[in-house]
Amino acid sequence: MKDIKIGLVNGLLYHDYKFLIDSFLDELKVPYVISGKTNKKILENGKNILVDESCLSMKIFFGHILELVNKCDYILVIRCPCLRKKEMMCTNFYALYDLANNLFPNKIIELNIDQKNKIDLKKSFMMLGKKLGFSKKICSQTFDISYSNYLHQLELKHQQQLEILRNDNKKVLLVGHSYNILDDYISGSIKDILKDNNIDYILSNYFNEDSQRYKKISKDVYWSKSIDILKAITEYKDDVDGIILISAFPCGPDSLVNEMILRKIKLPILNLIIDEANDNGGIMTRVESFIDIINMKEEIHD
Amino acid sequence: MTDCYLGIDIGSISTKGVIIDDENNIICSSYIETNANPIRAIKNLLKNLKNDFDTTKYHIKNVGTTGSARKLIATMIGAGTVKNEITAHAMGTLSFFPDVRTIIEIGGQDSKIIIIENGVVVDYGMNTLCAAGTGAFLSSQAKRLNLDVKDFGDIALKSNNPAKIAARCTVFAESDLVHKAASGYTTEDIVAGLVQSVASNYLNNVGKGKKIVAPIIFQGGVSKNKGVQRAFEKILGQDIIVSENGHLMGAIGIAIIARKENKDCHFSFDILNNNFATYTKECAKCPNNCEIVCITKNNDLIDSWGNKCENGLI
Repeated sequence: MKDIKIGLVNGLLYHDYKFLIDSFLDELKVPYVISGKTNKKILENGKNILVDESCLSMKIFFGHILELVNKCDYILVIRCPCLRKKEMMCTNFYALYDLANNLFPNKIIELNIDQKNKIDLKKSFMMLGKKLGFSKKICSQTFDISYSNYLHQLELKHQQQLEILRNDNKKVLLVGHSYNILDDYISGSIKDILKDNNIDYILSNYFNEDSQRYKKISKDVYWSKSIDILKAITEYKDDVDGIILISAFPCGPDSLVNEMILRKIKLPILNLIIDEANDNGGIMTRVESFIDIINMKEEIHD
Repeated sequence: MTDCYLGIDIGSISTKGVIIDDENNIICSSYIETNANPIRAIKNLLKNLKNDFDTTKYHIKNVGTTGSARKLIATMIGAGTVKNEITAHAMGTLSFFPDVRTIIEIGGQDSKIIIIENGVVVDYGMNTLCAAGTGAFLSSQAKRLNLDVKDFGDIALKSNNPAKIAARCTVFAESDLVHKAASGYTTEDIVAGLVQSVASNYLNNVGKGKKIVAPIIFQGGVSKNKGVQRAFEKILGQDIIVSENGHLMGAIGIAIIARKENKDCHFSFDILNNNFATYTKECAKCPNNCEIVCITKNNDLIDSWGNKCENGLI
């Protein structure tokens, strides 16, 4: 299976593993094409092929697949039922590969991360490498190099955020899944409003993975991505002036976890749910009022 | 010449304007319907204000706008201050009631709750896209019952046995209402049921999870409805204060913010002589296809917005 071109879908878990996947394919010299930034056309296309009840992020994902269909030989889809032992992922990540494979037969190649069946990150990439026609040894070496690149990149981003925390500006923590926080179609306008008002922001994507302090908020959460969010919140909450929760409509895990965050974290929190309606005015009013709350905290009225 | 400040709150249903002096005293005010045409509404509003205003005695130093069309109107009349309606409402209310802890605001399409501690906004909530249980809901039900929405409060107070009506959704409420009417409920009972459902819908939605502490101020257009006020009192077991200037609070608040900013925006009533218009167009330069709003003054483009990237600049 050499001389093929892989399409990378710029949606869902790709945002988490971008550095790793790109670097792995680069090292193996496998050509690839990434679907561009999310735009209205992509969302509309995604809406047309999925059922109404799918979440906004799924619709965006399938819109991106349509962008790639005629530009590559195979489209890489991450299937991830279990990211870490004893934890779960949203069921959409179980279904993603099968759904894509049904809609686009013979076009999908999978990256299957499934710790429950003892397929960890390395094994999943080795299986991918094998499908692409590379030997076990090469796959293993390449993964090790890519993985250290990936960890290095994540650490760089983490350090950049810690740097921001050291300045005196007002700061907000943007909390959400990476596919919402890093996709400017969803969160770009929120970031712009913050910038216009001289508020610094950091993202919940980059945090210290080893810390177990999140258990003080809740021991019962079992969705991996929600645990990551709680880890980020525990790490940053004492150094920021407020939190903006950004989720896509209708996200099941977020609807529960955000409610818990609202009740347990004693900080100004804004809960924004983004849906297909392209109504920036509503978001603007909410974010601006939130900024006023943060700025007024220390101001004394005359 | 004494300095004074103009505050304009332009909402979906009504447009409010007020001119205050340095001590927040109201010099004149006006309250008119927007009728989905903010530009015309502003012109009428300014005409009303001009009639009650002594231009030889006062000078308008700064203008502030708030409400859903705040940006459009600010561009049109060259306002120096533009702020969201939550901050404006809080500021206005605090100037009359410094001890307020909770502001319940139900307007034409928005409903909000603002929580205040020690004179500072600490939390707020707002309805989502759905306008159930707001002024628009009451108006449409009034039309269905062939009543004037202004009489709703008095009619509701006459009922001893309010009908149970689901106000979660306007569509459900309408079918509920038809059903109740068909099964023989009196108009008073139905109106009382509607009014009560507005209050409970608000508390279950916008007020969900918020700690509602007295003193509680109720404002926005719906606060003029005594039935809704009474329903809140009954459910919360607290006194609900409705101020006679409740409908003007946003405008007063933005005027105060405009005063504090200490700017001079060189406003003059002469802008009434200009011809303003807006048009929208689809950018079509990239797949986002942003809708761009352009505003013209005497056929010259003065501003545009709505584009997500530089491609859409006009």
